[in-house]
Amino acid sequence: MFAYVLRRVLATIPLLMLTLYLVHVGVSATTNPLADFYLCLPKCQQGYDRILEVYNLDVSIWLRPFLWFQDAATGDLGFSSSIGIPVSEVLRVRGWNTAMIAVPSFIFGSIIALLLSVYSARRQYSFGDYFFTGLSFIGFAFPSFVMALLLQNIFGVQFENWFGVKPFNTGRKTGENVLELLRDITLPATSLAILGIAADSRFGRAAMLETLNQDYIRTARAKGLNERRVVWRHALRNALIPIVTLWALSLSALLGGAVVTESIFSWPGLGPAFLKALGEPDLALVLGFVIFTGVITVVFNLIADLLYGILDPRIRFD
Amino acid sequence: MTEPVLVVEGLNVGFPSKAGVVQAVSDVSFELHAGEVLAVVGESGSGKSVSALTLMRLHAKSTRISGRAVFEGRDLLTLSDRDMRSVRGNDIAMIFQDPMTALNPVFSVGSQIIEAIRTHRDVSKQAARARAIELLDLVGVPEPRRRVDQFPHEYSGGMRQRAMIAMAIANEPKVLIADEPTTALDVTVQAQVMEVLRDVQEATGSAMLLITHDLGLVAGTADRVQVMYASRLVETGGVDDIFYGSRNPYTRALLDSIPDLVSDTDRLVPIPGNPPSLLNPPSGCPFRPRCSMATDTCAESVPNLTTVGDGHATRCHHADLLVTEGAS
Amino acid sequence: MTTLDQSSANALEGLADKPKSFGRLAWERFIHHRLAILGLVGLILIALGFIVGPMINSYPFDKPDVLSRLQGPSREHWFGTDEIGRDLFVRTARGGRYSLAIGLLSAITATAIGTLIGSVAGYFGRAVDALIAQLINLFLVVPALIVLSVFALNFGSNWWRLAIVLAGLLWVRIARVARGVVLSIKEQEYVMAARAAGASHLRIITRHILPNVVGAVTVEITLLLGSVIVLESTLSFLGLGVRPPDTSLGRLVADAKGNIDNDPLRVLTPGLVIVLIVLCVNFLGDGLRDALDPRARSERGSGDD
Repeated sequence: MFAYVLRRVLATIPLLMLTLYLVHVGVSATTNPLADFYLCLPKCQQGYDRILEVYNLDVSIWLRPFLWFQDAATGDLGFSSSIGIPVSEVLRVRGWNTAMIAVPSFIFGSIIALLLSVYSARRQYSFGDYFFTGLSFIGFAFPSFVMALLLQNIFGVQFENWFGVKPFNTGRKTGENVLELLRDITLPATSLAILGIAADSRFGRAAMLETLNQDYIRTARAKGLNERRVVWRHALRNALIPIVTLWALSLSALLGGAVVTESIFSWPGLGPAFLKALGEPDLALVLGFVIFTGVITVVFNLIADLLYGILDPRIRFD
Repeated sequence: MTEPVLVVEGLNVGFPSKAGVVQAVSDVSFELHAGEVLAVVGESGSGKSVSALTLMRLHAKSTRISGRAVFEGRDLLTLSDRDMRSVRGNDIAMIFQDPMTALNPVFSVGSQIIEAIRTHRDVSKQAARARAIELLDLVGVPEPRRRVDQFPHEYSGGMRQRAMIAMAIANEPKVLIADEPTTALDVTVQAQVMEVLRDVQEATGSAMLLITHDLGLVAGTADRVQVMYASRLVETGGVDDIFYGSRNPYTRALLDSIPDLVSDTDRLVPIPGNPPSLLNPPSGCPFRPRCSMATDTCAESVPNLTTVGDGHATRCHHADLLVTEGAS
Repeated sequence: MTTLDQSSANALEGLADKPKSFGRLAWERFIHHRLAILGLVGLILIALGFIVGPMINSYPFDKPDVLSRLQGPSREHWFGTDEIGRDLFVRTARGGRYSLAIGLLSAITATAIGTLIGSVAGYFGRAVDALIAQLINLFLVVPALIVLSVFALNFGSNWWRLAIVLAGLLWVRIARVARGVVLSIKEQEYVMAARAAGASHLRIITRHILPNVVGAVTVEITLLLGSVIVLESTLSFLGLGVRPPDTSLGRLVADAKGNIDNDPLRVLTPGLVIVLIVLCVNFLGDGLRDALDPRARSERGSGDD
């Protein structure tokens, strides 16, 4: 078991390095922080030189990642020109905010999706099954921004028009106490969660159905086990294997969705910061953010791999 | 004559589909006595497995069933789910065809046997575990103490089937249903597993319903045989009656089609044609289109199961033509 | 025993109908899949609406008519007007045309690249495959929107460039499917039999492998199309996608966002059109999947024999 963990971790490291390297090169190739300076030369030569130095632009693009990593290893991710504080600070403060909506959304969404999957698979072809499957089909077709705008409008202005009160905040973060905080995060988190549930429950239902059709389920019933045990112990345990790997992928999608949702609800997370940085361009922050995202996705994939090994004994002994 | 343990009367099983009802089992009746091995023989699609699954009530909800299956004074076909669950794995146990897929891959073999025990008996985990090891030893799994914690994929095919048998007899069932227990195994392993099955059956005294398409298996193990074709029972009798004195053209054809290593034939003798559609069966006797003895009578009506000897019955309009020498 | 002739004649009576070819079976399954047909018809209607509608409607998309500003849907202006009086239906139709065009171009490009690379990886195996497989994993792992944001801003200045950028990331989804199919078929016995009979690589690829790849890839294409439309509209919404004079449905939503409190319909209409398109595409994809890869929807506990 330990050997498996070790092997997976070791296999991930090169992937991580390669990802970060390619990301760095890719971003550097597309983002030119000197763009604004060309027009004002030779007057702003000083500023030009400074940028050149900070971003190592005189060095070959293929070598710059190593310089970046060198600095990053000591915790120096550069300085964000668009926000005015070190990039690591931006990631920390904004990242915390993003986590505040992403984490609850992921947890609640995944649990609800799982429950719906089991329900749908058990009661296949029932009204409930068709209803939820239909809903998830529709939800799956929504881009994140449409869902966010829809919720923002319905629970914001429309709700206010009908009932005269706004139960949830639809813009800015007020969050002084816990209750306010909850009011702030409800809509963005729900928006993300709905999209996650739609995607996950389709997959989960298929996984459960496939599992329920396996021979060992028939054996379990032939042993005299009650249906609850058959579904929740024998079937789910097997269906979780592909579902867990899906969770890792949906976490990646969640990050993308968060960017959009945050900007719509004016939530001060990583999303709006990233978008602003793209516009300037604030190379330090763009690099920092994209690489950070890359690290997170690779790490989550590793976790999914490890969970896979825990859940499926056949893999462990490879 | 011992009291029958299981009495099946007029079993009919149909699967509704878009195109109509697929009648998988028609009017099947038989008795199973304690300690005996009753082999149910037939091609794929003859209805032999469906009958067994229906008796265990492991069928889909939409299946149309009629008839009775009396076990210990109760009709299995009308038992509540709860009552049926206490019968399964306890009084009646089933062994399935493919041990590779019949065991849950994520749980250890031991835990699955323990589960079978503790579902029906109120014993401690340790006691159940000890019993599981005992059972694995009984069926010939080597190093049972170590193997009990291993996973199915660490067992060989033959060992897995032995483990399935161990799981099935854990609660000393009165009836053991073995659905093609050796079909998915290598030939060399088949004989071993059959031996285990026979030993176990003799030791526990349970009745066994052995479902198979392999007549060779039947010859060495069964006491009585019933032959099924296209959802119907076409012949039933003692193993000697069937093998040496069959009075049914289908059974004869089946026996003839077994390649004989000893005698001097140079061609195989298959049964021409294909089994009929169970959706739109031909009129009259189901074997008529492929039967070398078929006449117009055969097209008119389905023959009844008529007794032709002591415990020997056949379903054929022309059974009398098949007296004297047995398989040619 | 009687002669074989007699028995054979008797045997023919019980035979089933002549078996149908795979293509025919797939077509029949597809036709019966009501949602898929609904999706297909829906898509066709929407596309027609985008193309033909403005011809009937005949309001130019960029002609302001301040006298008729901010009207709701009416017989004159089917979707109403925006704050400077432009007809919203025509604008939506125009955006829709761009969205569909980008989607199709992107899907076709991604398919071409992905099928080629994926098949090569699967067929030639070993080193080539290992390399490509790693690359595919890498591309699949990164969050699409974020990576695309960076590249779209710089390379995606007009609509077809944007389509290429999208394809540049999403080809991996097709490649993964193609590779999977090729890998599994390669080991099948009929391929080995063909090679034993002396067939050349090309013949094996064209006769045995490609037909199977086509089925799986077709299904993936519909899923891809849905993703492309969602991604493109999101990018355009964020301002990272199409730029004037090009437009798309996502861009229309962004344009209208400012006034959402007073005029939510203008914002939501292009958005809901996106949802409809993706919904139709998904239905179509589901139907194709069922038609080409039918796993019998068996009920629980049914016996086999």
